[in-house]
Amino acid sequence: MKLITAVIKPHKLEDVRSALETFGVTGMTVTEASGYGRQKGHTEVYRGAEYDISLIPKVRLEIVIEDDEVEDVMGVIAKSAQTGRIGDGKVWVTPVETVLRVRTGDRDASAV
Amino acid sequence: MTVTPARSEQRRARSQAADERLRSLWESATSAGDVPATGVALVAVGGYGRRQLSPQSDLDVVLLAGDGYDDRALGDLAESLWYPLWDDNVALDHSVRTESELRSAAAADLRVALGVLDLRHVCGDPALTLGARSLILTDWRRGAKRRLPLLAEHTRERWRRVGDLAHATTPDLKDAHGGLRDVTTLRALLASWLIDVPAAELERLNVQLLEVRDALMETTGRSTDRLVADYLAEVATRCGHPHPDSLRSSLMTTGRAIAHLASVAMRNVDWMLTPARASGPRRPVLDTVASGVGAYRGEVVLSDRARPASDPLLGLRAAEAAATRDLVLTDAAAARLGRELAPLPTPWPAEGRALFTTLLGSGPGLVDVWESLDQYGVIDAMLPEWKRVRHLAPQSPVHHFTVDRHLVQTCVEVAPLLGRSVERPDLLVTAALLHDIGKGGDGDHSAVGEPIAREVAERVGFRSADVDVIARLVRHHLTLVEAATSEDLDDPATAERVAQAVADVPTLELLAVLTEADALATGPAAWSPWRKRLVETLVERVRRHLHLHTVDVDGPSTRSKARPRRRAAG
Repeated sequence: MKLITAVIKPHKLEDVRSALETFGVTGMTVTEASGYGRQKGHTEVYRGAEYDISLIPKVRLEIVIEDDEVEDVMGVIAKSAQTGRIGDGKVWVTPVETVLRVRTGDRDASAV
Repeated sequence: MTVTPARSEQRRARSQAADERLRSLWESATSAGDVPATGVALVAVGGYGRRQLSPQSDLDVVLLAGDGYDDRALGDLAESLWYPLWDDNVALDHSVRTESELRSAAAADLRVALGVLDLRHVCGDPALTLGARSLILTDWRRGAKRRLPLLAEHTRERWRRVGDLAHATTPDLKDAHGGLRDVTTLRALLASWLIDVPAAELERLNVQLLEVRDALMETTGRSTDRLVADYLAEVATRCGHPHPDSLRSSLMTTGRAIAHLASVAMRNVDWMLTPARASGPRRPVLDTVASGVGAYRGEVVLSDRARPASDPLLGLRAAEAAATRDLVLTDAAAARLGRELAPLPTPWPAEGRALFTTLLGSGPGLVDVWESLDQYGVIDAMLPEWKRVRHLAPQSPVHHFTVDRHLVQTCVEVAPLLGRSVERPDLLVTAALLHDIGKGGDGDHSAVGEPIAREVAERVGFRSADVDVIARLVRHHLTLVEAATSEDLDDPATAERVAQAVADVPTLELLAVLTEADALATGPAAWSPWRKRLVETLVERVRRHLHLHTVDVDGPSTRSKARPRRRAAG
């Protein structure tokens, strides 16, 4: 099993959630997050005005899935979160040793 | 509130069964003759002392020994009583004390003092219990003048920390203002002989609260006082309510009544401690703070010149005087206003409007004044729409308060923000009070609330353009948060859409403050730095858009202010 973590723009959450649901991913953890990547120190120009960008609001998604779904889920997230502009976010994958569903005691695949 | 006689009886039966168990253990422990039978007793304290043992309550007991009782024999006796109870998994809250130790503990700790006021003999030497009880009550009465200020301070600190039972979305039946701990506190005040409390009324309210608490414990199977939403339906059924809302409403009425008794009692404690004047007239001398309204010892009262039946603004004058000075509007004044106050003419005169908006922007003093007026029907007479939201439970778990209390809290949160670049604080506080007035029915509450807010604003006497701003603020009070968290802020169309909704920069500034106050009044999760940042970014972009463009609120088009007038017109 793998943990997929994605940091995306807040307004893309609904698009990503709905695309993942269509794909069959029904559960996820969503957290309000702030951060920056390559745009650190970047100054945004908007209608002639300059904005200093430091910590930018993002949302962080966490999804645990089976190994064979990793590429597809990453693709779904990337496609639905993309605006083509700087700051679209990142997706990364980490291995998960085991999962326990608290209510039933189910483990691993049946707990996901 | 439906009170089941059976549940009251069960509390008594539970206490009786516990008494019998303890007596039987006592019998076994003392029958061998190793333990002297006089000079030692087992006593019940707290709820068990009052024979009000709830399903999951601890058994609060004290093994009481006369001074000079043999320590070793006392230790053996304690072990032979506690161990069998522990073996049976009985939740036991026990202590072993001599009579003088018990008095010292009560003298040192207010919670102990309150608990032992309900001391009741269970088994052993009855003369020892009787003597201890008499001494404890005497100590309490003797030290009351010294200790009541501390009790009042602790009580008010708890109220600040936990909040009102009547307005909480997850009521704490024990520690909230209006909860069971207030009942215990009021009993202690009564026992002091210094403060009077309507004892029969208090007991009636206590039984109503215990009914819900017992049903909650039956539902959860554990000792808990927090009525979380998940258990509401089952607790309602167990209490004989047809619907959770009916339980909630009756619980709020009970909590409100207890909170009221407790607040009045605490004010009486303050009064009792205020030194009497050494000279001057013995009758009260009022400081006149407004026509027909006086202040006396921290309270706002109606003076002998007050004529509520012919002076419709008197209620607003009294309320404004109390809230802006952070004084208490007395119960008697609120009750008289409720009975006699003449209805305000429609539209309200300018003075009434000014008093109303000053009252709403007065800050934390507003909460108690509004509550007093509401208790006696003054709010209903002034603002009949308030019925829609009174005691209404919010739909979202993020909310901390019921809808009516949230609206008042939003006004409180607006007050410190009025110093910002807000041109019309009067419109802002009115919109703050009305922003969720559309809740409680079907449909989007912002849309439902807009015409209601418009009607209220017209009645209050705002001119037409101001009514439009208030209505727009109510209609769009969620627009900034929704757009900031779900739309692309980098897309100029987002700022353009929001600009269309707010129409101009002054309204945008009002909406920005209302959005922040609404979120702060909702609960800690609603105004995270994350949300704040997104909303601020959006507001900045909408502000910039409005500075550069003229917005036509009736249509989607915008035109650049930079364009020549001739072309724009075309």
